[in-house]
Amino acid sequence: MATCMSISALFSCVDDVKFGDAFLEKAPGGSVTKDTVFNNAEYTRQFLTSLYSYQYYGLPYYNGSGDFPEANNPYVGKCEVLSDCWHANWSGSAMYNRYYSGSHTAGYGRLADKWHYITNRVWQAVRAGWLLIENVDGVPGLSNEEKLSIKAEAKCIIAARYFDTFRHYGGIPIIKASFSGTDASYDMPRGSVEETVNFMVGLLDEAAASLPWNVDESEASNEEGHWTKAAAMALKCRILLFAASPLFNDTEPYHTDGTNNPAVWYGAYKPELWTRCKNACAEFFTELNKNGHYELVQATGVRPQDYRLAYRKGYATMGSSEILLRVSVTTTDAFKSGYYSWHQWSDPLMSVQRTSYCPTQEYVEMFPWADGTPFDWDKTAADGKLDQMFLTGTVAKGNITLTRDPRLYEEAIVNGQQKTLDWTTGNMSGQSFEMWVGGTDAQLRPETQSGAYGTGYAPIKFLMGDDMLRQYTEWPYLRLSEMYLTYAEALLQTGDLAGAIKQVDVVRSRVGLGGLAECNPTKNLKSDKSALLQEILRERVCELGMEDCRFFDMIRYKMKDRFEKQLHGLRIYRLDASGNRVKTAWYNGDRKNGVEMPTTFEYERFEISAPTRYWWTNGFDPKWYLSPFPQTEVNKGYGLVQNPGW
Amino acid sequence: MHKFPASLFCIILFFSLFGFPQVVKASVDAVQQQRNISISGVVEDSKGEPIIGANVKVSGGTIGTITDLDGVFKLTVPAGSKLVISFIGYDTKTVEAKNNMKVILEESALALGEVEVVAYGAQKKVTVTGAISSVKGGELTKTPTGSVSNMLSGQLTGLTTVQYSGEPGKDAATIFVRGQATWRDSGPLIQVDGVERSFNEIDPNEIESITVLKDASATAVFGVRGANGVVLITTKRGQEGKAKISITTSASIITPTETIDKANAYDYALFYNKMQKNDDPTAAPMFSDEVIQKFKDHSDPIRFPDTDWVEYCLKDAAIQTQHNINITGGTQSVRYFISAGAYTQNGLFKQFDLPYDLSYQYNRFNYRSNLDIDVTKSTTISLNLGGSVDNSYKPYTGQGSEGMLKNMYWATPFSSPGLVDGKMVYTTTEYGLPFVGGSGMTYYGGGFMSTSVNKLTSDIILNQKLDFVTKGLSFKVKGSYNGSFTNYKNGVASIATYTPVLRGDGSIAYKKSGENSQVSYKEEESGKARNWYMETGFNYDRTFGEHHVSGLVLYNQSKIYYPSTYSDIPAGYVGLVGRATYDWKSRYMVEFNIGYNGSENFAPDKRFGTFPAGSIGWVISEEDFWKPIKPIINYMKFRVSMGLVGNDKIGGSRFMYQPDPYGINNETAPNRLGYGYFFGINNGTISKGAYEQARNNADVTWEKAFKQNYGVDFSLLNDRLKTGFDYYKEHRKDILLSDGTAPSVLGFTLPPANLGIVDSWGWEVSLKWNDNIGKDFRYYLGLNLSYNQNEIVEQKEAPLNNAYQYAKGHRIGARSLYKFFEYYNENTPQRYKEVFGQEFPTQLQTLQNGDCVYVDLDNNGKIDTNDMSREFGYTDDPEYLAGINMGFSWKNFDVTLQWTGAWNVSRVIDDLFRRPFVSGSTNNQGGLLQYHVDNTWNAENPSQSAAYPRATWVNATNNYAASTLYEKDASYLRLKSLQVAYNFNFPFMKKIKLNTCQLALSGYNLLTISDYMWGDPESRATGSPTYPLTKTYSLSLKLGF
Repeated sequence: MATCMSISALFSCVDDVKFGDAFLEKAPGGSVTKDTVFNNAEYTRQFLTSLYSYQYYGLPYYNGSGDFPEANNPYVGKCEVLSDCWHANWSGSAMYNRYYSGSHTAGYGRLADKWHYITNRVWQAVRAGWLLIENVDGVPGLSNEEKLSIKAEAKCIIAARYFDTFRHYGGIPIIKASFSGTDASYDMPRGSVEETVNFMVGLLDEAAASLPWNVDESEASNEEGHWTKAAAMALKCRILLFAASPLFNDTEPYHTDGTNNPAVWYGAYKPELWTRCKNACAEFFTELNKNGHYELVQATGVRPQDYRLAYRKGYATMGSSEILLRVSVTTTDAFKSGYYSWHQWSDPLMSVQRTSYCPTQEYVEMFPWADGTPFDWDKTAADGKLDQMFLTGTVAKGNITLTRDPRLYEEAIVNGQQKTLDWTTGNMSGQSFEMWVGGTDAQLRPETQSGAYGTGYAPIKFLMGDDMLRQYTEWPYLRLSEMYLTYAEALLQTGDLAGAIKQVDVVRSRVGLGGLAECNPTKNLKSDKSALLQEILRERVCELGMEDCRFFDMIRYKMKDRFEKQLHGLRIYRLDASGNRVKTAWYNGDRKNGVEMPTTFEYERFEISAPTRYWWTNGFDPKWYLSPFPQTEVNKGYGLVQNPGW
Repeated sequence: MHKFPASLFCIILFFSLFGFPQVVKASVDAVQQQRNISISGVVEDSKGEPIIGANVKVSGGTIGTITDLDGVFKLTVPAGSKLVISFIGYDTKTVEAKNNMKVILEESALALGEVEVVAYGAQKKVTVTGAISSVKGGELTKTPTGSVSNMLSGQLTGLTTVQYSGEPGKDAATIFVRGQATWRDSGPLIQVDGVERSFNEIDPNEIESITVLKDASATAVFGVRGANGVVLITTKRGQEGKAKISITTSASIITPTETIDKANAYDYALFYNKMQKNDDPTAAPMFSDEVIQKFKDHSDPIRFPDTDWVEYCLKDAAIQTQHNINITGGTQSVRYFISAGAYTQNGLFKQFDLPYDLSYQYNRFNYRSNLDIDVTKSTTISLNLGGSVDNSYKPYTGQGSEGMLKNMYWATPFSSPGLVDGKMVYTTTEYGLPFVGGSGMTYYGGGFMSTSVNKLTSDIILNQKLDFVTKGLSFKVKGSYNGSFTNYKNGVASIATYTPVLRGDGSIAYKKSGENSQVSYKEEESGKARNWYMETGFNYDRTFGEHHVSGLVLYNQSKIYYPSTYSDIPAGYVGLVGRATYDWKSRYMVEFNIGYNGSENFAPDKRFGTFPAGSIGWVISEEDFWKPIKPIINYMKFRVSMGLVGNDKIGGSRFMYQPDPYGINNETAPNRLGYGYFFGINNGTISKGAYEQARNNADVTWEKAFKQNYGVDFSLLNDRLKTGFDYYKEHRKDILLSDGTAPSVLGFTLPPANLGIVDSWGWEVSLKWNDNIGKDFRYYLGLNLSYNQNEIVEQKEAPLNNAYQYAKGHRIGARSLYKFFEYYNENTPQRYKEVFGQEFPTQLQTLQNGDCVYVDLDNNGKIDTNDMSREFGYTDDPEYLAGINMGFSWKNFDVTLQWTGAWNVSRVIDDLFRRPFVSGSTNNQGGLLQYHVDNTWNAENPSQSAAYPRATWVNATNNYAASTLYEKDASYLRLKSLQVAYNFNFPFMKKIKLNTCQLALSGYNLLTISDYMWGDPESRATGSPTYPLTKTYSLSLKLGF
């Protein structure tokens, strides 16, 4: 006994004396479990908040791993560079090293597919959404109205996450509840295109019924960002447009192996799908007319830069009246933040330009003149007006005038463009970008085809140089101008060409362009369906550049030929007084010697060769229209049928 | 703490009461004296060194003494009596008592003497039946390096060490006992003086021995902690006798073993332009002729520098010193060992003009006091107090300790001329450089990180003999405390940088950007750790004639405060240990061990587990029938053991049996992997999120290892050759994993479950030859060789197309690689067809001459990830590890050499070691190795033996894919240590009582023989390069008083 007491004494200075099982610690008390969350109104609201954090953000901004959505990793890159409007020359990205090289396979691992089936927080969001829907009814302290609203928002996010994946894969397994993970085996076949579309649309219809048209204006400063009836209806239109497009809705499947696969083909051309899309759009605009609130941001003046500012404000300012739903991942853009590396890695003003999203010559030529008449290289060259194809005037003289569609200067940096656009006045200021070979900004990069100036143009959308410093960042998930163009396309496909032109002109007039038909008198747009379709698609990429439009338009319309087309960049050579090429800078160069800013150049459209794309020389395999499911996932045998060709 | 003395007093008082009667009994003596004679003598070992503390006893009597510091004893004994002279580690000798006698004791047949340290005690070596290997501290200190784990490499069978880094203070080797038997944490349990503690900060001079417990028999008592093997470190203790003072001091020069050559600016530019041309023959060259000319003639070293960063930033050598003084001795009732040591290692990085230390300097101070106090004849109290203070300084890179190396490798030679007149100059693209790239000195001026770790360990042990209850019984109680406090101090600073500006007159001015800032100190988080351990139990050890039995019952519990997860809830363990042994005449041995453990990390009904193990031994050489062979095979023992041991290191998670955890109030933004969200317009306030964190499993439990060991020990030729051989196998099951076969669209990772299985097996041989030629020349040669192999039997991986793709069926750590065939040329398709009988497959990309060609393993006509196999090559940890220890002494010279070799080991080179111009942020503006310049396939010399394929960006996916081409043999044989010592014997030494005066020259990692080209074969050539491994030349002086 005495021994025990002594020992007890020895240890009593540490803790209560315990032996055996009693010595072991208890598991943490009060740990947070499912019951904690769904027995508390505040935590349930938090659960909804976290669901918003799972949403899609369209820019690659962080080299993250783990639960990080891979498509936002610069090492994947933005799939817009697979289209004909942008080109990437950074070999670190999957776009370059797996897609351009033609080496992509179903056996992909991390950072390899443009939309990895597993690692984009899609399925976590779907699970969390269903967990919330399944449990919200029992939460004390929530009004019925709030419960309905929470469920509606969860449904919108589930539908959105489904569409984010659907547009890369076609029909996918339809999950209508959360799983326990204890099942012995799983049978989860892919839904057909039809089932998947109806599933998404069904969720959105249900949601729209319980959501307000817009976030109440008195609450917007704190609550903007929530899903609304407008956003739910708009997403429905986008989904139906995609579904009705020839990729899935045609007389034959996009790939010969897709004949018996309802997950990638409707089985026939079904014109009623276009009607369905048109009706959804009509419903949206009926509601818009009734409820208002959303409208395109209009210019306050008639200078091209005024239109440019209106356009910029429309897509880039938080709370812009034309954004139906935006997604945020951070607050303001501090430029050098590794947690928002979009700028740090992509901005042409950064000394190390890593992820390049260089606009192509093909893209730049899609932008009409400032009055809306189409741009034609050969004609312009023949008229000797190439030196005026971007702007006229110089900084020194203070007479710079933009000559093209004002949106061009928001989509690409062109030679002579000034570095700053004032957010209030629309006045342009700062030095001119020197895009010529040897110029202060481009340096030799258009020749070496490296960095952000690799094509002779540099990206500006969502970057905006110093203009974006400390501005709030956002991704415009759904924007009103897309709705006009979607409606236009649906009208066109259901035979109302005049109605379609009317919708397109709404978008054009905002940036001061003349009517589509008036500006293209030779194209018979009021009767030539295919010509008008081309114009609508062109208008879409001019309006929605880098907004996840062009690549999906190209696959929607199975534009094999466009994919295969060799793309071009523009080499601009500064000419000296005697007309010889000089590869020297002006601002950082002979400006100091009193030389005036050069205004005469020689222009050379060059074939992009570093890198080339596999399909330029080897043809575009239709299998690339959709992504391959990871082979390991197919192998699990729960019913995931691989996409054709992979 | 203030209660300690009172408690101690209680204990002493209590045992004093039981102890006193025995003291009284002890002083009765013989009455009838025969004629007594006084004798004296000296006891020496075979080298002629006096043996201090040897027991000298009259045979069958009670008279006895021990030898003094000169090995001398004096006794008064009955005439004609016989003396029994014994000392640990030597064969006991019986001689007739004479005056002026000289007794030479031979080292005993068993290397570590009579006893072997085992779990919770010691055993006579001859009766050990488990698989145990050990090494003495004295062997270790011959290797001049700071961390003990590196001294162990090649010293012991069954111990694998891999030293990845040479960073001062962080250079400890990764250790495995008998390889890896789980893909989870496979590190062994490490105990110092019977308590779980790290041993890398221990002064090697404090170590008496290191023992590695390998099989179930030896480790079962550790229960859930024992499956990965156990390493026991025993510190030195005092011996009765006059105070012995030992002083060692050494100074060493450290140099890197291998540094990597980087291409100079000229080669860089040429290689770059060529790589560009490879991809696009029409491309304008990135580096213009003018720039290349400047690189070549170095005519403009500021604007067009050519900096070898490795040379610029690294010193050729740094200084390391090690000092220790220890005193040991004692009276019959109090014995002590007191030691103080200091170790300093300077880093290899240059300091330049910075006012703060960033050289990777590391200092450590150690102290230890081990006391044994016989409070009564039957009561011993031992007090151990040890500790260390270590400080390290390194630059603040924001990328951890790898940052500095990484940036140096990723740098371009023309990014900066380095410091010009104290200014940090970076080049600019304004004068024709196409890009600047990274500098190797981005750390410069960025501040420093200093870490100070203060560790204290203490034990109090009470041992009470309970012979009065029953003979051979004793009681033990032990309490231990470990504490450590870490203070991280970061000083962050910035400096102005400059870019050169060419003036009109051709002179160079500098444009400044940024400002110098003072170092702003920020006291970063300080770490603390504290844990308690206690054990108490009964030990029984008794011989009944020819029967020897022993038993142990012991209870222990420990509490670790501030564990890494749920740091507010301490981690606790409780355990019961049982052992019973029996042997007959040390010829037939049986042993049974059992551990019964509990850990709170498992559900209440699954907390406790039982781990039994049994073993038998047979010393066949003791049998009568052996007699004819005995002159040749002097000794032979067979050992067999088997049993069950557990491993609860299941990945750092705790309490996995609880309901699924949810997170609430998460205020982290999505861009930082958070679950909060920003609602509102230009609203910087984050809305908090709640989310499901993980799925749990109420049934989780520990890993179980069923181990078997078959061993034989024998010695030959008059014990000159001693040999041991062990074969073992292990079946590890219930390894925790997340089932990968479930659909990923469930939206969560399946909770961990005990589903994994690994088999491992191997063998170990040790040989030791010991002999002398003539009187003055003694030599020995030891060899130990270990082989380990394992195979993943079940890992529940997501389904793959081919068996060779799975980790299952392969060694832990096996890599998934393409099989490289050759560099492409127009004949390749034909040759491929000849070799494989198959059509040439579509490769990853469209090939050009000089591109890598891979083998279509699944014969489906195209190369894709289904052709990546884990069947090729080896892993980071070697399958074979060998140590060769040899040495000789001649007169006053002692020479020892220790070689270590490893084979069936490889590294996969990656990052810029694989691909030119890669850095952390770019694929085309990073660093370039000279090895690339020299060994890359090129059209002018299209050699199949080139080390790298045609340089390309376009075909990078193909050419730089993970393949057997980049899996490099990392076998090595290295002279791990060499020591030449001279023992002085000056006449004055006797006067000042100086017994030993030894001057030694030694070296560490002196010579490495390896085909591996990318730095030291033990380091990693990846995107996380490690501090270079170092070699050390050392001069040391050892004095013994």
